[in-house]
Amino acid sequence: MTETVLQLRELKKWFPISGGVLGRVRGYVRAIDGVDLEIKEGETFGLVGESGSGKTTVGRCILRLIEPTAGQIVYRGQNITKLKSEALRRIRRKFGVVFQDPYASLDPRQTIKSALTEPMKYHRIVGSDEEAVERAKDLIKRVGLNEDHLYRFPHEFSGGQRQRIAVARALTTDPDFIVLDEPTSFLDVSVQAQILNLLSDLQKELNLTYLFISHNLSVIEHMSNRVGVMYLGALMEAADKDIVYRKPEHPYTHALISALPIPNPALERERVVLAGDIPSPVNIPSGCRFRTRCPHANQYCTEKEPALIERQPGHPVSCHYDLKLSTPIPLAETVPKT
Amino acid sequence: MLTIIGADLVIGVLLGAFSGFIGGKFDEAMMRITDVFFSIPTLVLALAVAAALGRGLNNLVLAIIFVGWPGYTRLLRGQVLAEKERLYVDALRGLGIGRFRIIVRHIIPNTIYPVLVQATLDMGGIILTFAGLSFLGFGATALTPELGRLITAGQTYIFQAPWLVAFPGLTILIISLAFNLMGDGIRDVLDPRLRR
Amino acid sequence: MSKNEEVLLTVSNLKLNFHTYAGDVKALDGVSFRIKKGEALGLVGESGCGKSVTALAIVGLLPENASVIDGEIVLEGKNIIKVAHDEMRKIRANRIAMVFQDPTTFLNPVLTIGEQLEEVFLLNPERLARVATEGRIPEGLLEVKEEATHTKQDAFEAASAKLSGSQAKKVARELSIDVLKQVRLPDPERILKQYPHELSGGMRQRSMIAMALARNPDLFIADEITTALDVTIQAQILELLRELKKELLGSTLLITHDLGVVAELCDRVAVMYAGNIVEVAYVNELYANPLHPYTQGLMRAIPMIDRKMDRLETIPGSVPDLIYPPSGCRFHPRCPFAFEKCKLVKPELIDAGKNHSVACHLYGEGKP
Repeated sequence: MTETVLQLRELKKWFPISGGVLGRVRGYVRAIDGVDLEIKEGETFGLVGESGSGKTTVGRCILRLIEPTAGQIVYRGQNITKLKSEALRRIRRKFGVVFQDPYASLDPRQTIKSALTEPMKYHRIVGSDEEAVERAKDLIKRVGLNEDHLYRFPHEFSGGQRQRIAVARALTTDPDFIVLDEPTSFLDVSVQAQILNLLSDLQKELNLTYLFISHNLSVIEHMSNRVGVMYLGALMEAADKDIVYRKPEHPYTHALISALPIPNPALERERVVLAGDIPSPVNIPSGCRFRTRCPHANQYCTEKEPALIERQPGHPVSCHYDLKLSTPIPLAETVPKT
Repeated sequence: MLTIIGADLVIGVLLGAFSGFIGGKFDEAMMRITDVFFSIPTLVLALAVAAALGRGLNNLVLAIIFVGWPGYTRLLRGQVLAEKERLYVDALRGLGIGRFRIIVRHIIPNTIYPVLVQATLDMGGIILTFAGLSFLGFGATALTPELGRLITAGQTYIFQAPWLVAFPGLTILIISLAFNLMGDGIRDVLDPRLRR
Repeated sequence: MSKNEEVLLTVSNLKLNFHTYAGDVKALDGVSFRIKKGEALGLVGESGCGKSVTALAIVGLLPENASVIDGEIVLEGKNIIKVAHDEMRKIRANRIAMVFQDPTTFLNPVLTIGEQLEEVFLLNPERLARVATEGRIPEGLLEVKEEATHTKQDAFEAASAKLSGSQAKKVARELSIDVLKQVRLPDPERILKQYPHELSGGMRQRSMIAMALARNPDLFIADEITTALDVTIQAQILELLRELKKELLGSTLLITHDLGVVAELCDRVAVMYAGNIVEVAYVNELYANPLHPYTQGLMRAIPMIDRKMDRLETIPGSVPDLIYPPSGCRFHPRCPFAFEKCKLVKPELIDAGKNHSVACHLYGEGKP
């Protein structure tokens, strides 16, 4: 049985909005509103969603860059939600992170060598400076760059190269769990492919577990083993990738997948186009939060919020009804070309 | 001169950086304290402190140091508030690096330029304050050759030998100007983005 | 020639440089393509390939440091690169409409949507007068072509010759509501009174499209208009554009880096790389049979949902510096099939059959 590396239980993050003359709290941005999920060792869990879904906030909560309002974050059985100082530092060694913006995620005044050796020395993973530099050289080569790149500054590199450096930096403390927050969104297609291949290779080589956050459905499909779909702060559905993309059970998942333009003009398929806009996380609809755009919603959906229930093992869905939806994307091989 | 600036910078920068980064009650307290300092004109405050401490060059230096740090604290705090939201700070925190190290090794180096530039501009002002207070009788005794003192000594003879006052005055002017220009230069040299 | 084959716009051998401190950026290196009447042409490429620059050249909105070195852009007989400023403005007002990726920079934040839309209509007073005198908004109101006058002043004067100021405003308001309905915006009367920041991203994008429609353009240029949108909102806009294409829009030039969007909306596709068009074909043909090594590489680098891919194939290297571009074929340093000729001679677009052109020495004479 593979071990569960990370588990989220009823995770909530509400941001208070203050306003008025006295600065009283007027309401809350319910960025995450009760999320449960589980990531197993060695797998890539893709977290997908549109604006306001809360997926980036989930990543930041796990890393404790922001403090959860409620709920628990459990790492290999240990509750890390409220850890502080030394204990938190020890856990952070096991986590790595790669952010979206390669131009902002490195200190512009720090050489690459310094950026890579600093975490090693800080956590006392190495005994001496020389050892740190050796490890840095090793890492920089592993991500496809040269040793002499260590002595340069971030602004001397392209976006793709900086992301490679960010990946190297994530690996400096020997982590086993890495949060990837839209790592390729700012990159061109051809560079994106290079980075994604690098991430796959490293995962196999080092038995890493990934939480891959992205709004790009194609990238998520390519990289993930399991996928979780978020909407307005809650998880609508989570399952193995093939099920999410071909046999989704939640109407939002279905609409999301079918909305994706596919670079295959010969492909015939049924498109679900949702009406209306995504509501603001300040004003989440009552009952089921998806009901304002759901083509199947009824009165009951307005009154009661559906619970996240496992319909099959490992396939939780948050919807009152079993809708028997069609396949949003048939596989190309099954469609005859014109 | 340099001691004064140096001391003020150290105090100001450290207080400002920690105040800005850590926030909370410490930050609140700092802001109220600096508010108090700002509400009293510098020269008057320096005068009061110098008077309290008594005569002597060292006391004068201490008085001016005491009066000068809040400016840097506020300036730096502003910079730090913006800087701590930057993505690389999140990356460092995610790596488990402690706040102290982040502030000292990353935030301060990245935010210090405006403060340094301000410091060189202030040099001129400090000299004037120093000269002014010396002129009034604080600080240097009649025997130590200090610019302000020179003016005091020379003012009795201003009509017979105006150069006794003019030259020290001119010197003060030139030194202030020089530091101002240096401030401009420092800004151009130290910004790493321009250094490309 | 059937109506479908009539050409609206021809770009011939367009060469364009940007003057910068670091040197001259040879942004466009002899770009040639045609847009036929009623068709949707996709212009596809990664960032820096010159697709947006091409569009700006067509619309006449190039920045100051750009200079056209060579080539022509011919719109129904006239080379619009050489026309005077004023005439270009007229053309922009009537014939070509461009919509950008970021509605916030396009829409004036201090005017309501209604004010901005009405302004477009008020610049065409003859149409307003006709609509008013006919007493109703005619079906297909957007069909008639008129020459617009230059300024609002002229417009008001002309309109007042036939209509009073307030009458003109009323008609303009009716037309505005109509065009908002055409972009499927709910509750158009309310939207007229709202400011851009009060609308969501998708609604702003629709407002921009409405403003373009209001001019009844012959050529509608859309520059990455869905890139900044959420997937489900993007689907709405794509759906809208598909319907509008059938109903109203003349020709469309759709600029994007997203091969999926192109497959959905376009009839023909032109692929750009480093300032050159490297391949042009009908959409089905291009996806089934990409000829240029860059196109092939691009398609293999993109994760595609509808097929199983183990590893993404990467194109080695990176996009070249256009201040010192590679000699001969600009793609040769990254091309797995490059041979001697590729370094020396720049390939021209040649016909490879089935209305499929490609600029590559692998095809045509002298192939290895």
